[in-house]
This record gives sequence, structure tokens and C-alpha cells, in this order.
Amino acid sequence: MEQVLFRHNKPGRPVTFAEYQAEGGFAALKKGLKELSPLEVQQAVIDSGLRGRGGAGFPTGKKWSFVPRDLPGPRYLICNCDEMEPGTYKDRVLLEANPYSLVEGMILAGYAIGCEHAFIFIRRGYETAAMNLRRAIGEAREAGFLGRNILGSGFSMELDLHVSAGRYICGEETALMNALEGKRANPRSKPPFPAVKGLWGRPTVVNNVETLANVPSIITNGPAWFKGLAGIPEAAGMKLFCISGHVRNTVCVELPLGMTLGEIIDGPCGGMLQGKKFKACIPGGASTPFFTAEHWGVPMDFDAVAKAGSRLGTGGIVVFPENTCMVAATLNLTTFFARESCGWCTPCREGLPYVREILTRIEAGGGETEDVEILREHVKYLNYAFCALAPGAMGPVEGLLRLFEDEIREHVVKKRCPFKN
Amino acid sequence: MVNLTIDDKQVTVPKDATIYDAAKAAGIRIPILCHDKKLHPFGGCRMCLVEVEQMKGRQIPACTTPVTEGMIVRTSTPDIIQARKMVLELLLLKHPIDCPVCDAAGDCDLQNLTYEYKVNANRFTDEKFQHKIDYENPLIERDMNRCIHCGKCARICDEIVSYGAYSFLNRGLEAKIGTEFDGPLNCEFCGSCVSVCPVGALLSRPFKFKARWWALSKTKTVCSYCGTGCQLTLGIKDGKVLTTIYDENQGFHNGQLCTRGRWGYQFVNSDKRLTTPLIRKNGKLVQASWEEALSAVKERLFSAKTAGGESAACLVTPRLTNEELFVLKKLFNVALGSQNIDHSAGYAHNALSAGALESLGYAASPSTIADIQKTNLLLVVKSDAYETHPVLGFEINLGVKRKGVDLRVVSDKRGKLSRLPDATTYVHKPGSEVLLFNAMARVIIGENLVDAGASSISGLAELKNSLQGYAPEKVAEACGMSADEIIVLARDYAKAEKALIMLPLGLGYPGHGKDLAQALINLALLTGKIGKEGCGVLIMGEKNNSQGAVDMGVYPAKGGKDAVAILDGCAAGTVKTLYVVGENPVVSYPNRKAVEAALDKVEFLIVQDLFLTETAEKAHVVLPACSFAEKDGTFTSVGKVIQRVNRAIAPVGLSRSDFEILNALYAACANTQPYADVAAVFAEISENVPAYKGISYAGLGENGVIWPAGGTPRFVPAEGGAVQGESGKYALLTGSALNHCGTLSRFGEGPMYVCPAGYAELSYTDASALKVKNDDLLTLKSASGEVRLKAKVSARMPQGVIFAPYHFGEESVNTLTTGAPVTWVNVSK
Amino acid sequence: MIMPLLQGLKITFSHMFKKTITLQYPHERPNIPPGFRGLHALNVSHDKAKCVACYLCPTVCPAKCITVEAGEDANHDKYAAKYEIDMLRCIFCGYCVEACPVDAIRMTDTFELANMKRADFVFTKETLLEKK
Repeated sequence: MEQVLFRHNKPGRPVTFAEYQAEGGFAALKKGLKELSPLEVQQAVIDSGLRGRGGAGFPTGKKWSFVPRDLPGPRYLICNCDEMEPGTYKDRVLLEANPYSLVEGMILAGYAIGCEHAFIFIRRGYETAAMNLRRAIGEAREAGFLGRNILGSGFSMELDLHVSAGRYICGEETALMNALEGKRANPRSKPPFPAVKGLWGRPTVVNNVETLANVPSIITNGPAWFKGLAGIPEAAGMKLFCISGHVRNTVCVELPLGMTLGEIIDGPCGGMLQGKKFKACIPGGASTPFFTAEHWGVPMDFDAVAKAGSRLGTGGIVVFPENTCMVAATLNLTTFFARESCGWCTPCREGLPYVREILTRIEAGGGETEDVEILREHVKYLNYAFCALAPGAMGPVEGLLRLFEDEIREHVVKKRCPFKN
Repeated sequence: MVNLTIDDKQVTVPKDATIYDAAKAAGIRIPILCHDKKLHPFGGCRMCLVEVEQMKGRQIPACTTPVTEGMIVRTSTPDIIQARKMVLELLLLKHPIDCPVCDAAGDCDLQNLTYEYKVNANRFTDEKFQHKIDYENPLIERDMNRCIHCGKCARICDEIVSYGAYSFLNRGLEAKIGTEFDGPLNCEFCGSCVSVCPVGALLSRPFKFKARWWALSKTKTVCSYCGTGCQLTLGIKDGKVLTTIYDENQGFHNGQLCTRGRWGYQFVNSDKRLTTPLIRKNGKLVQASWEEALSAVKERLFSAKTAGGESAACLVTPRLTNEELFVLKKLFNVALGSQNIDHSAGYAHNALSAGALESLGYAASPSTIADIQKTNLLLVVKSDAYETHPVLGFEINLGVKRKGVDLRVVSDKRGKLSRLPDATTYVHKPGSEVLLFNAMARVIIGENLVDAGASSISGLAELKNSLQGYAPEKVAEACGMSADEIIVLARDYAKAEKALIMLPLGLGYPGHGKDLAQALINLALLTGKIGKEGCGVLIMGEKNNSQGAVDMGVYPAKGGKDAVAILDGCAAGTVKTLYVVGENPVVSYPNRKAVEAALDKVEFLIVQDLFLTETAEKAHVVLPACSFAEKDGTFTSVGKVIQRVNRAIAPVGLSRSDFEILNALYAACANTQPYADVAAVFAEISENVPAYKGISYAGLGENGVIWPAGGTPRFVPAEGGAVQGESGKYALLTGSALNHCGTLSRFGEGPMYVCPAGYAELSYTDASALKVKNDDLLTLKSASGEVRLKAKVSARMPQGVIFAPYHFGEESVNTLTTGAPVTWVNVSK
Repeated sequence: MIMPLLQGLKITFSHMFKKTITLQYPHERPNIPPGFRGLHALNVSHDKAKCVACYLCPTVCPAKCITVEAGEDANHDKYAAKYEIDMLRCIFCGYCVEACPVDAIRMTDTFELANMKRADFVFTKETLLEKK
């Protein structure tokens, strides 16, 4: 299968600068900066149909186009590498193998939006990735790909790596900007959107690692080629899927968008573990509602997954076997989200711990029938929280209520967890 | 303008309005917990959720969402009400239901909304928090168990007060509002956080358990401390002022108050108040009846009158109302035939009564408070402007942080204003202000930055001549600044489209007199910055009615004696009867020893005051007067605003309002009918004082009236020389402490908790040279006396300069001073 | 003519053999029904009055006969430093009991409140505290 992001991967070690260049790396940069105007680069990305790989799936080129170009003063580009969604590790795998695609993609993106200073905001735990990036940035700067007047194009950009102090909320783009400014990582209210008023009040674009790393190949091979990579006509490009749970191979693989869930689990994952039967999975990181066996044939693309009642998210698939208690699984996820709430708004600060409380009660056999309704109410009203954390946290709970209500009721009726003896 | 529909009502609002603002304009109430009109939107509580049709029924917060054209908003669908109920239920999960013992009950937003949304029982239950309650300070009690995380305290402290005492700590459910290192609160204690707290998490300790909100009656009046003229709502129960109440719709300051305004009200019902007249018998002050006391006073005044009046003199505080000052002046000028009447030591009003009068043609600032936020460049003379007028300091904070005002502080020490973002502080040598501003004027003339209109103002040629000797290079050394700094400041000031100068006055600032005011007015006139919005010179009188006292002409004219001459006359025996109304010269006038000697010498001393002050102790007759809370009348504050003072309580004890006393004395001495009431006096004022023409007492309304200023300006050269330092000595600067105003705030518990005694503030360098630490006793010795003060080591003081506040009676700094701008003192441990 | 007289006498005599309903107060004590609203008592818990001085009773009192002053104890808690009821003004409506959020006040069956001096009708906290 054709690989785009993993094309340069070397077994057991990161690719070197020389190898990356020899294999055609930084060709896109040269092409973009020398042959294309910023607007042409942006147009290529728009035409390619590239959608944000960080979870929301917003069209990348369109996001760039919101940045006001005639405004004097600096514009910023931030790469969100604060990958803290449970079940997701694609950016780590990518950066540990190849930091150069990201650097190249960021320079191109910076060129497209007229950014003079870009930042990579990386999760604290990603030490190897940070090391790789630091080296890559240094090498790029030495090669004249960063700094003043890059490749004689008149375009100048600086790139800095910022290691996060570590909080799940820092992955929220506005909280990330607050953290980068040295403030408490609270989200900001939108509007104004970051593209208009972001980092230090300036127009800012925040993109995921995988999104930016895809840009060079689009510039090199053209939008049509990128679109054609996907398995179905509605989708565009490849996607990194990282699968964990009870499958034979827990791997991070680059697959065309539009492969069905079944194809992924039976294909690269080699099916379920010996003696285990598929019960459900999280299709795209901890904040997405569950998929069950009935979703086996859903094509894994943004729109198709949304239509099936979940979100493609980050592509972090976590597979649960038949004997999993879904209440316990949801409780586990909710515990994470309740802990990681920033405490800014009422529904998230007070509501998530309460959902955790109820699920704990149900799992322990102390649940009441009314609890189901209370959970349902939380799922509905926690959607109106300040940022996307609480609505995301309600994803699995929503899935639990929709797909496994019987299981909850069984807990309540039997006054114990039916999966525990 | 943007058109939108809210609950089927058409609304048109400015395009920067939020849905909440628009609804408010349409008279639709949207419930809020975390929103405050003075602060940036927060959007955390989720009470103000509304539905917008264009957003597919999604609920969005009204307080953070800007309006867009054609928006169709619903504010109370069943779904929204359910969401709000849920928010309340979630908040009540952790909020203790201790309303019976919580002082906020009755004034609690959470309680009111819980009632309104009929959240009678909580379907959710959980354990409550057990945060430790902060009882460490005497003014603000912090019970974080009750906190609902609206963040208003942290935001107001940051955005308006610019102190930053609070911040969010921890995350998730453990998130709470904390102080630095989660320790006890240690701040300016302005109490802004208490005023905005929607629940009982932050409480006023002086008011703790004193009364329930619903039992308080409220009276709106004007604060009686500094000249800012903040409006105040007093909470009264059983004839006592128990607290001040926050009203966000009050005054230019939106209810914002400082430490003394908010916590200093206790002097009104202080146990130390004088409740009966006192008469000196056998060397001792004993209680007497009003008849006895008044007849003694009358007898004395009659004999002075018969002797031609010149032997009687009066020192009065500008804390009285305009009406009282007017009657007092009439008592002396008309009834007794004496011109010997003055206030504020004769120098603290000079900038207005002589400086502005000569230079502008009227004795007032040409600018108003509103100009602070409308200007582009703000030139503040002395960082002390924040300490003397804290609420104007908040206006400066807001101007700098929200409106991008370019703040330049010209001061002999740094201060809180110096720490504002992008503020520039020019620290000059003490006493060199006039020199500096004359040099700036010279730069403006020299570089041809003079406004075209200045040539039509008389006296330009004389001014140019007088400035010959003030080349920046020549005075730089004496000012302690580089010539370049002076030149750049002058250029920036002249080139700014709008620029405002702020000059605080006060008993602690002998240098802020006629010459300084005129040097500043010259600058403004030269650059055409008078009479335009956001421009001018804002001269800030120290006391609540400093401007009014000048308006009423309570300073000597027609050969009358000024304050210094009056005291000299007492000492020399030419002044035989001295009537001191509310002033405390023993503590607040320069040269305590000389003042005390003069007062000991005078034949008959009448003191009319709220308390048995250091001055009253020397009196032959003491008349107990009333505080501002017991009076009706008017105050005129900074920026010429005449505001109504309203009586909140009956006089304490047998005390009588100054108006009643003076009215009776005037009627007796002038042998006429007394005035019917204060309104009658105000009517006479508006007939006799040109500035007040056409203004009626009833027409003042809630927000008062700004009297219109008009006059012919002219350039008056201001003389300023270099202050000669004395080797081995320190420059002692007196002034105002943040929590005090005059000598009155000493009787308010709040200010005394925070700042109970005088201190000497000095730099780290000097402290290490003198080997002193904080709170070590320092001996300060000048030519006229010696005091021992606690040291306060701070980073804001330049080397060789010492600052001491003047409010305190014990070890008072006026023992050292003689009325010069700088006093040279020897300092030892 | 004689018949009405006899009938009257019959009623009179029949009463001589019925149970008397006049109560020989004060030698006999009345039987006080539950819900009777007599003198107030302040309930005690842990050797302290339960009252937290929330001021709801003086607020609700239609006769304005209750005076409460709150105090702060050593634990910074609120208690009634002063609690007085002017029995001359009290109308025994029982609203204070209804309003009390902490069950600190109740009404007893004591109804003999005569006193010699007007001042003695102002019952203080000490006299109102429930007797154990």
C-alpha cells in the first residue's frame, strides 16, 4: 500500500536529514517557495480536500483562508502536538520516525498564511519526539529552510519548539494559546476565533501534526493525487490509525481514508485476539461514542463515521472484547475527563465529576433507575459547556446510553456488575 | 449598528455589543452569575445560555457572544430553563446550604436564581468541600467552600484594581480561587472582590453578622474622604451606618470604591464621637449644654465683632458642605467683618485658588474625570495620584489597559502606577517639578511645537522670556533626569493628539502649589490642550469638598490673613479668637511645634469637630458636629462636579450638623433670620457664586452637575528653582498613604486595620547603609523637630529619599516639616 | 302554663347529675391539646441553643416582637448573642416556629405569663432556653 507520511520511515531509528532529502524531502518546500505564491499553496491545500487530523476534521485550507492577510503585524502558526487523547499515539509514532515532514509542512503552511513565527506545542511526555524535532529544526535552519529570506524567496519564518507543562486541556487550541502565552490553560471564548484573534491577540492558525505533515506531499504531487489516495470518493488522503485493545496487532498504520472498520481490524490488526469476540470500539480517541459490531461496515472517514453516530476524531481505535463491562469502560474514560477539566465552567467542572459519581455508583451496584435519565440529561446539557472538553467527554456516555442501555439497566436491576462474579 | 430579534422584540445595538447587552437594552433580563458589566466577559457559569435560531438550536452564552445582523434569539424556552436549572443544581452540589448563617443571604445571586428557577430540591447529591476558611485578615473573610468559580474577584483585582491578589488554582473539581501560594490574603484591601462576589465566599468582616440585607435601609450619598466624589450607598439599621453597599450603577466609577470609602465608614458611629459640647473649666474640658457652649461662643464672637472683627479668625476643613462653608464665610465676612478665613494650611488649595485662577480665569480644573479615559497621553505628576485618589487611580488603570492610554508618570518616587503595562516613570529629584515642566515648555517653544492658537493668548512673550534659563541641558542635573528624557517627554506630550495632566493636591504636598499648577497649565496652553475632550489639567483637590471650598471663596481676600498668618497672629496675640471648624492643624499643618504654641497662646479657641482631636484638646469650647452621613447638602469634587449629600441617620448623641451650628451663630451675630434649610443657602449660592449660576439644589439629581468653566487664559511665568540638597541628609517627602485621607480616616476601623501608624519608607540601598530592616525604629531629625518612625523598606524609593505619610497624630511628621516641598532630615537607627 | 316550667326544671335538674365542664382553675389544670401555641422555647442541642441568629423570625414576625443580635463565637460561627421576645406584643401566631430553618424555636404549653412589671414581659434568651 502506498505510504505518504510513513514513506521515509526507517526500521528502528528515525530518518536522517540526508536520507529525507535524498528521498525527495524538502522538494515541496523548494517548489512551494520558488514556484508558487502563498495563495497558490493555500489553494492547493483547499483543492486537496485535506481535513484537520486532530479530531474535528475542519478543512485545513479553509482554516488558513480565514487569516486576514492585509492586517499589519505578525501572524502565528501553531502545531498542536499536545496529543493527550487516550487511545491516540499517531503523532508520537510519526515524529519518532520522521520529524522532517512536519517541519517542512509548517514552513509551507507558514508561507501560505504569511506567518513569521511558528511554534510547535509538544506534550511533555514526548521526549524522543521533542529531541527529534529539536534536531530537525536545527538542521532545517542550518540548511537555510528557516530564518531570514528562506531559499531566496523573501519569506522569513522562525520555528520554535515549546514543551508543554502537561494538561489535557492544553490540546484545546485556545487553551493551548493561553498556555503558550504563559497563562493558566483556560480555553478562550469563541468568537473571536484564533484565525482573527489568537496568540497575543494576533491572527493564528492551529493545526495538528499529521495535518501539517501531509502538506509537503500535496505540494509535490498535487491535490488530485492526494484526493485519489482515499478509498472512497468522498474522502481525501491517507490517515494514521492507531489501534489498541484486544486485537492481535496493536499498531499505528497509515491507511487510506474510507476503509471500513472491519477491514482495518481484520487487515492490519490481524483480527481479534485468540478467543476474543468483538463487542465494541472507540473509533477515534476517548471522546468519541462507541461503535459496535453493527458498525463493522462503516467506512472510516469523517462524514461516514459522523453519519453512523460517532466521530472519526484522531483515528485512535480502542477495541473492547465481548466480556468488557461497558459501564466500567465508560467510567474509566469519564474519570480521565473529570480529572482533566480545567474548572472554568460549571457544567464541566461540576457535571463531569457527577457523571463519574453516577457511573461509579452504577458499576458498584448502587445505581437507581433514575440515574439513566440523569445521565441522559448530562449528555444533553454538558454539550453547552465553555469548550469542547465536556461535550467530548460525553461522547462515550452518549454511546453507552444509546447502545448499551440494557447493560446499564442490568447493573441496576442485579445491583452488581454482571461482568464480575 | 446591528439589528436583531430577541424574544420577538426588535433591538438595534452597536456592533460590539453582546447578546446580553442587547437583551438588557430591550429590557429582557437574562440571568447571570459570572458576568459583570465592568469586566471582560467570562462565560463560565453558563446561566445566560440562550438559543439562536441561526445556530440550529444550540445553546450559547449571551454574555460572550457578539451580536450579528438578523440574529433571532430566544432567552427562555423550556429547554433553556431546564439547562439553567441543571446549572444551579450542579452549583448547589458543592455549595453549602448555610444561608441562615451566610451574610450574603438576601443579596446572593445564587440564592435568588435558585428561588427564581424553583430549584427546591436537588436531585444530585455529593459531599461538600472542606476548604480552610481564611480569617487571617480583619477585613475580608474568604470561604472558598461557598465559591461558585465566577472568577469575578480575580478579574476585578486584575482588570480594574491592577493588583492581582487572586487566581484560579488547581483543575477540575478541585479548582478554586487562591492567593499567592494559597496563603492568607495580603493586598490593598480595597474590597472590590467582596463587592462583586455573587455569593458569600468573600465577606466583609467588619459587617459580619451585623445585619441581614433585607433589614438595611439604603441611602445614596457621596463619600466624605478624598476629592474624587465617589457615590456611596450606606446601609443603615437602627440609626447606625453598618456598611457600604455596592451598586454597580452608581456614579462614573460604577460603584467601585477604595479601602477608605468601602471600609472607612465606621467613624460615623465610632464610640469616640463627641456627643456633647465641652467647655474648659479650671483647665479641663467638661461636658456642657448647647445653650452654655453656644452662649460662650456667641459672647466671644460679639466682642470680636465690636472690636472690628480683625481679632477673630477661622480655619475650616474642606470636608464641610458648600452650604456650610458659605454660611461660615458669611459669618466671618459679613456678620463679624473679618477676612481672616482659610483652609488646608493655605497651600493645599493654592494651585486652584491662585494658580488656576490667574492662568485660566477660574479657580478649577479645566478637565473632568471622564477625560482620563478619553485621552491619548496621560501625564501624572507624582505616582501618589493613586494614593491620594485611589478611584481615579482605577480610572487610570482602565485607561491604560483598555484604552491604550500612554501613561507617563513624573514623580520623585515610583509607585503602583509605574507598574502598569507600558507606563513610563521619570523619577526626578525631589522638589524639581517646576524646573522640569518649565524645561519641557522651553523644548516645546524651541522645537516649534507650539499650537497655533497659543499666540492669541496673552503673556506668551513674557513666558518665552522667563524660560530662557530653563534649557533642558541646564536643568537636567538639578532635576536628576537626562536632558534627552525631558526633550522626549516634551515632544511626546506636545505631539499627542490628546493629552491630560493630573496633579494631586494635599496637605502632604506643599510643593503642589501655585507655581507648579501654572507651569503645567502653561504646558497645556502652549500645546493647545485646554478646552478639548481628553485634554487639559486635572487638578485633584485632596478632600471631599476641596473644590467646593475654593468655589465658595473660603480663602483670604481683601487683605485677610491666610492660614500661616492666622497662626502667626495667634502666636503674636493679634488673633484673639480662633474658630477651628473640622481642621486639625496640630497634626496636619506644617511645623507642629509652632502650631501648638500658637494654639496654646490664642485667647479663645473654639473647635468644632466630630472627635476630640489633638487640636480640640487645646480648645476652650468644643462643639460636637455631625458627619456627612448625618447631613444634607452638596459637595463639589474633582472636575467641578456638584453632588448631593443625603442624610442617612439622625445626629449621633447631641451633636448638631455644622450647618445648624453655623446657621444659628450667623443669625445671632448678623442679627437676622437664620436660613430655612440648606436648599435656601444653595439658592443664595447660585445667585452669588457665578459658576453656580442657574444650578438649583433640586436639579442636581442623582449624578450631580458639572459647573461650566469659562475664563480668559493667559500665560503666567512660573518660578522654579533647584532644591539645594544638604549633604549627609535625606530628602523627606510627605504625602498620603493609600488607605488614609487627611486625619479623619484614623477614626475608621478599616483603614486603621490595614495601616495603623505612620512609617518611613526608604530604599533598599539606604536601608542597608543604615542597617535597618522593616519595622525597625528610625529617628528622623530636622531643623524643627524629631520623630521616631517604623522603617518600611521598599523598591520604589530612590536612594536618599524618604517618604512618610502625614495622617497620624503620634510621631507626626509635621513635627519635622515647615511647609517646604522637601524637608532635609538626618536619619539614624 | 305549668308544662314549660316543668320542662325548664327538668333541664335544670338533669344538669345536676351530669359531669361538670367548668374547670376549677387554678386548682385544676387544663388538658392542653397538641399544637397549642404558648410561650416560646429555644431548643438546645449539644448544650447550646440551636439558634444560629439567621434573623428569619424577626423578619417574619407580624408583631415585630422579636429582637435578635448575632454574635461570632470562638469558631467564627454565628450564634444569637441576644434573643428577646416582647410577650406583650407577641400574638402567638407561631410564624417564628414555621420560619425557623434550624428547628431552634418551638412553642410550649405554658400560657401563664402574668407579671408585675412591663419590663418583665421581655423574655431574654436565658429565660427562653428550653428547660431540661
